[in-house]
Amino acid sequence: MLKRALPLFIFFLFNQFGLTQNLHKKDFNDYKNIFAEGTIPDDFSAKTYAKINDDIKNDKVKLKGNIEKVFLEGVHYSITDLLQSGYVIFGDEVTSYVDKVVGNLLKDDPNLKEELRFYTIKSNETNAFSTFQGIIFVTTGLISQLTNEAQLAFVLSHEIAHYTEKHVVETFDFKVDNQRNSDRIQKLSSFSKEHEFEADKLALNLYNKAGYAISELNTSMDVLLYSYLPFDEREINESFFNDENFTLPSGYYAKNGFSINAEENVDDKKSSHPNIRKRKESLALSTGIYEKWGKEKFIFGEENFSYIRNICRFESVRSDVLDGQFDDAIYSIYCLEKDFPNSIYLERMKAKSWLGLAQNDRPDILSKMPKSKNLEAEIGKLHFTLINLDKKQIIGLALRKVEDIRLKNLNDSIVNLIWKRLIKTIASQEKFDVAKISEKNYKTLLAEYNTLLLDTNKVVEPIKTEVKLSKYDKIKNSKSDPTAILDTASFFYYGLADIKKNVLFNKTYDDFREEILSKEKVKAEFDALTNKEQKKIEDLEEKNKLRTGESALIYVEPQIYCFNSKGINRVKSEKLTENFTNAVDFVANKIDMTVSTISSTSSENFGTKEFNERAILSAYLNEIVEFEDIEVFPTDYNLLQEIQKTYNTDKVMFSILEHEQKLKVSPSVIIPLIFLYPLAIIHISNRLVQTHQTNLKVAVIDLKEGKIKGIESYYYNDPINKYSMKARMYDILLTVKSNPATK
Amino acid sequence: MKNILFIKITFSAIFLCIYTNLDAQNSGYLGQRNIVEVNTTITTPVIANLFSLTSSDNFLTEKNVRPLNDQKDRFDFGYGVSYMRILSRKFSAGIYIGADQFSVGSKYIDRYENSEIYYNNFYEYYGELELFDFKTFTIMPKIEYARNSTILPIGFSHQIGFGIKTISLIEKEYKSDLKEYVTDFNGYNEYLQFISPAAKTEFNTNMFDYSDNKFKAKMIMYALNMRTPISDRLLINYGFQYTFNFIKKVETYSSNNVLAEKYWFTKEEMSNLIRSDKQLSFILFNFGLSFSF
Repeated sequence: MLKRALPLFIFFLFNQFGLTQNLHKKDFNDYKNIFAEGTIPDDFSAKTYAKINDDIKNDKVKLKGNIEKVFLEGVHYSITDLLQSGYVIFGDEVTSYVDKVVGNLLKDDPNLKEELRFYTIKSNETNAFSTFQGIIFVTTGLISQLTNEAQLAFVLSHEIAHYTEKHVVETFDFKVDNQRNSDRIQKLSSFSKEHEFEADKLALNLYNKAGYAISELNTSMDVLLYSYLPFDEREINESFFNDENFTLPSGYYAKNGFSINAEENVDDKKSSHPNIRKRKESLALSTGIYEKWGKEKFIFGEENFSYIRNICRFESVRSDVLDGQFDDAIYSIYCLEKDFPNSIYLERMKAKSWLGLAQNDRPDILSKMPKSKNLEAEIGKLHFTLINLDKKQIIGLALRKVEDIRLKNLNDSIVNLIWKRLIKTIASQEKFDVAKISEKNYKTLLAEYNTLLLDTNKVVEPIKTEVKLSKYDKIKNSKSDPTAILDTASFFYYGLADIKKNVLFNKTYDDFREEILSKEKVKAEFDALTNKEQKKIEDLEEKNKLRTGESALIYVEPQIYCFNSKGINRVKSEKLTENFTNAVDFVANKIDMTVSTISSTSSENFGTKEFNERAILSAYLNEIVEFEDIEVFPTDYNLLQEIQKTYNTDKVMFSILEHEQKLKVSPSVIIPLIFLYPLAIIHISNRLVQTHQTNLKVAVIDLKEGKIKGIESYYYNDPINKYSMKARMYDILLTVKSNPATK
Repeated sequence: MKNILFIKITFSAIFLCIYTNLDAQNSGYLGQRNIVEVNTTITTPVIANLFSLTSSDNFLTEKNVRPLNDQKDRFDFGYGVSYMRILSRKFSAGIYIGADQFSVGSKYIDRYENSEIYYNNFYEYYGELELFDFKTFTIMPKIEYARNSTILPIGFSHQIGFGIKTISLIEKEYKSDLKEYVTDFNGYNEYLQFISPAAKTEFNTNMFDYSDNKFKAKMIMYALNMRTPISDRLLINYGFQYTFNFIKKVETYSSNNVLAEKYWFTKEEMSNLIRSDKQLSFILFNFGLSFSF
């Protein structure tokens, strides 16, 4: 019985976990972002200085001139920065898929497979790279651009070749040897290009052995060539902007798409990579070595690949929104909507993107878009419209779009919040006048006008024709002609009639207006005060900047940078980060405050959950800093809500500390000062005071209100150690805990 | 009497500050607002030495033949205890009690004589005398102020103190190398000769009236101080200070009194010696430990 059952059991296992496994966990209609999963790998958790010491101890690298330590510090700390940035994830579905593809590529070399680690970077850069340590990073941006698994396999094989050939070390050596050469940039470019050709050539070996199709080599190169364009091309026609309510005047819309100008044979004299033409030619030559080629585009199944690529494409939307690339996000969503028309995630992101466009100033928006002469592809049409609209028009369009999203998702709280935030934005704008919104939309007016024309034609009124109209009557009549609306800059007022009639919109708008007017009133009262009275109020506000009156707080790992005369001292910085976190825990206990520290330095309390939370909070901080002048709506709103619930507090503290230790006594003044002894004491003391300079910046963020509660900068001139950090944090945390002062 | 009043006023001001300052919630080192400091002080009277020719080799031409070695007052050491109460993040007040020791050359050299001359009644002695050693006792209320984001007691701070110093000559047998002019038996030639042991003993005995050897000075102090924590309660402190001592200048010579003088050095002369020395050695380095509670 058992003998008969065993093959069935193995077959079951093979189907569940084997090559053709198909465990799609994600529901794209209710998409949840990918984050790290499983146990934190050593690459993320081990101390960097320990990794460096290990490598030195094990003679991991030999360089000319005994500069191994310089090299190791450089490579390890730059990778640590990346690993801890919040953009890199491990154990997730994308990383697991990449790992699986590599497993197949290296099935004949298990030792190398064991040596290598693969992680995913959540970034829209189309990139993959390998490091000295044996880590290979792949971006979601790269996978979102691919059309099949074979292309991914080639990119991975290429990166594996860079690792096995130790190109990172060779490049470092080459740079050191040539640092004084005047033509070092060109030399380095040639050297780097040789590496690329070599990696392409060696990659073929793994690629061929795995059985992938030769045809996909050239398409892999095409991916790189066109990677600056969105991951898909979907035609934008008038219906993208227009619907039964809204009509965009034709002048704002580009009917024809823009040509794509990417060239294969660009000048690559100063590039690190050869141009695509040369790489294709080189690959064509090298493929001849192999007699037999496979035909596979997908070894793990097309469906699995599409699933993973869709995850990456959904992630690319988030990355665009976080980066303020709202135009790109809107286009990516438009492409994804074809396959996922009912995705609430996409709806929210679309609403958030239109809100972002409405909130930000035009120069900020335009700085992130291509210039009008550089427009390319279908997305060029969207750029054309967005470039040509002014702030008022963008707000009008955004209001229409967000309202449409809200009507489609009336029960979604996040969409409703974004809608409210947009109304708040409109209420605070002088330029957009809600009172001017027409009671009738353009299409209604046009229909009425046409009916009127028909009626007029029916009724012949010769007298009327004899009426001599003045110049001004003609102008007035032309304004009442609905067709003229499309030639005016105020077209948007004729596409929001339904919104104007919406009771909820009017109430929300009026409430925000009232709030704004009351703030203006307070400001006017403040302006009327004497200087002394104003100073008193300002002092009180200054005093209350960090005061929350709450005894619970989330504290995110500090960023510490220690500088000395040679530059940044990474080892000291890392050790101080550890001390700083410990200081926070110590002080929290002392002042009876519940401080939940999310820091990789406290390994006991730092798991994958905390790793992800840190990434979410850091992304939010970046968002707040990037859009500091506006009341940004958090891209990861629901994830932030979860964090709030977990820690039972909505206050988060971030800190950054920069410490510089440099003796600033100039040798040229020492000799004259010897003869002026008392002055020498003053001078040297003054210099000594400035030997240590510390700047600690602390920001407390209110997750509930979605804004910075306060930022404070502290300047110190004393040496920094774990006890001085405790003292600083004692002061800061006690301030945060205390209630706002009333006088 | 005036001094007591001065101290009373200073103390009252400090305690008023302690009990009225309410902006002290976050102040102190980890909330500990009382600091006791034990300090060692070092003064290097470089300038005093430059001007004090008694210690300069240039004018001691017969140095090698004398038993009294050249002596410079290179370092004066002292010790002190402070109590500081942190009043707010940037202010503290307290009191310093300390003692130190310093030495002063007995008199200025007459450059052209290449020696010192000591007069007393009808005696004239020439030669050198060991530096006088003085001990001081200081009581000084002080206030402390910190700039930038410093939270006292840690970090750099500026201190200002107003105090009283009592200075007293240490009683001991001061070495001397004194000669007197004697006339040869013909009465024609005068030459210098070491004074007799009896005269030396007499000189020492009557050198100064030790029963009335207290000198008083008012002082103002400015210090730049630094404290670095080394544990949850201990801090090391170091810095330097400028001290200005105010000692009244008095007239030392009165022809009417010369005959009446019993002692070789009068209190006024000593006072002026101290005054001139203290005016020139005003920089003091200190380091020590601070205990917070």
